[in-house]
Amino acid sequence: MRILVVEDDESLRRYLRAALVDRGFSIDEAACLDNAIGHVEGVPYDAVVLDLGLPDGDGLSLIETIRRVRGGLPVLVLTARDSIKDRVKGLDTGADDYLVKPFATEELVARIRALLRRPGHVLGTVLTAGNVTLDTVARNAAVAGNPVNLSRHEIATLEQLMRRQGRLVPKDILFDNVYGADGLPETNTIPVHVHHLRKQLAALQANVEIETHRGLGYLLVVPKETP
Amino acid sequence: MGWLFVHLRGAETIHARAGVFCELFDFFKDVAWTTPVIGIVTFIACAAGMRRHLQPLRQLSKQAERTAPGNGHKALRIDQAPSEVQPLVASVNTGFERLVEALEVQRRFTANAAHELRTPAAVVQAGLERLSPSNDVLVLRRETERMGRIVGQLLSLARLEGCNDVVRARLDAARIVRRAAEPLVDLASAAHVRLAFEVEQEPVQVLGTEEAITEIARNLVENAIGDAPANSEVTIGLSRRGLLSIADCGPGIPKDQRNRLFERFWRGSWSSRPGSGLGLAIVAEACQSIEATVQCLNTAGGGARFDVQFATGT
Repeated sequence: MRILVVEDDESLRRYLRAALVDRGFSIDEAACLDNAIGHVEGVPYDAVVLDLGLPDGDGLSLIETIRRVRGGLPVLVLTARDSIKDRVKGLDTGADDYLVKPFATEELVARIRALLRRPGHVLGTVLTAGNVTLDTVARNAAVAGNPVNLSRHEIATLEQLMRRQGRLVPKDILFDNVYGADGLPETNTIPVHVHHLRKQLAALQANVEIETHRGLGYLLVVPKETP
Repeated sequence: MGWLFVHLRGAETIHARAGVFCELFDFFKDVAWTTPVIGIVTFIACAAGMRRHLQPLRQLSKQAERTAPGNGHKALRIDQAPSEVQPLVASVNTGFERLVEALEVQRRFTANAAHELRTPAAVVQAGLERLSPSNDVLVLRRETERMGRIVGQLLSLARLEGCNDVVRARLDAARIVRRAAEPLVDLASAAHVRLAFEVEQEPVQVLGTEEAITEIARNLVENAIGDAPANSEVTIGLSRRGLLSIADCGPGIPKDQRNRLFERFWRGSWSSRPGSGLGLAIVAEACQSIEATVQCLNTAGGGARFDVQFATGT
């Protein structure tokens, strides 16, 4: 996994590199827009971590270049600007995620991993969370190697939760992804799927937990002892 | 009067005296009675004239009275004032302008300072995360995180204060509150707290700005998560009439401390939670900017509950 870090503050860049290298990513660095454009055009990166306030211009303009050169390349924006206007502008320009400084390294890594887990940009075709695995091509799941008996919609629900491991999957996004754009609201039986999923996973002693946050959505957490 | 005095000195006899009284009587009958009448009429005319003349001053002082930081200062109307006081109004305007400018400079300074602190704070945080976690490092990490939060809140506060001419729009509070709460689910999950968003019916039309409603919801929910015990639920209720109600199952807030809650950097003695003391000040500022009201209550179970009534314009 090769990642480009575009950040003009040298100390922050150094720490980011160290933290990401420790977690198995290979890192290229750029301190300015000009340098970054050269990198993006020459190297097939898996993701870009981009600071917005760069000495030779606004980082948002790099996103435009990236979208032209490599449409699907995920971009995580790191920034000191956090007003709603800035966020909306960033996401409108095509940033895939937005992290405001200062941030916890764990949060950054989790978000990069989430971006890499997106369809079309996969850490392999098998997703893993704790002792649960899900094969996104064969459409089946297993706990510690034992297959779990799940319906098509339940697999889709579990996939969404695993792709955003540790982060909320808002219920409307979950609905759209499980039933597709043509899904009718009456067919929304997601609470039922989640209930069944929980039962099935617990029966096989899965060490993940699906939390319900009423009115907001669900998230899949792996308890701390099992990284 | 001089003429009357000379006339009296010259009269020596009783006859002459009777003549004088006759003349005096005639004088009062023909002329002098008009004096008090003229006086009264003049007085009434003057009072009415003054009143009319000073009416613009009254309006000006009403306008001046409404001037306060953060509610959109407009210069006093100089052309309406009587010409005698126009120089005074002009000076007052100049004075106001200087004050507004000074406040704006201070606000921008806060915003810039906070903004500039973000990257160094990120460097310190990233650096500390590289060190092996001794007790000292853990303390430093916690404090750095807190510093990062304060920096963000100072920026929010400066931004809200900067919105002098807030243009409220008719917005769906349910959507905005949900978008504000969603990113906090991760925080809640880490604290073993569940969030629940209960909305009576959607959409909930209120008057406000996206920024203010987001800040209100975010800060109140963040506080509630901080005060909630593990394995409890924080509820975010929104009624169809635009009443946002955020309740936790924590220790609640003692009655005698509630009046100071919304002051900046004030942290209640009942709470051991490391906070910045800015969250509720942001809520108060945001509420004021969109004419919403906020109050602190306790739930039946003893936890804290904050009620925000948004303006609905109906």
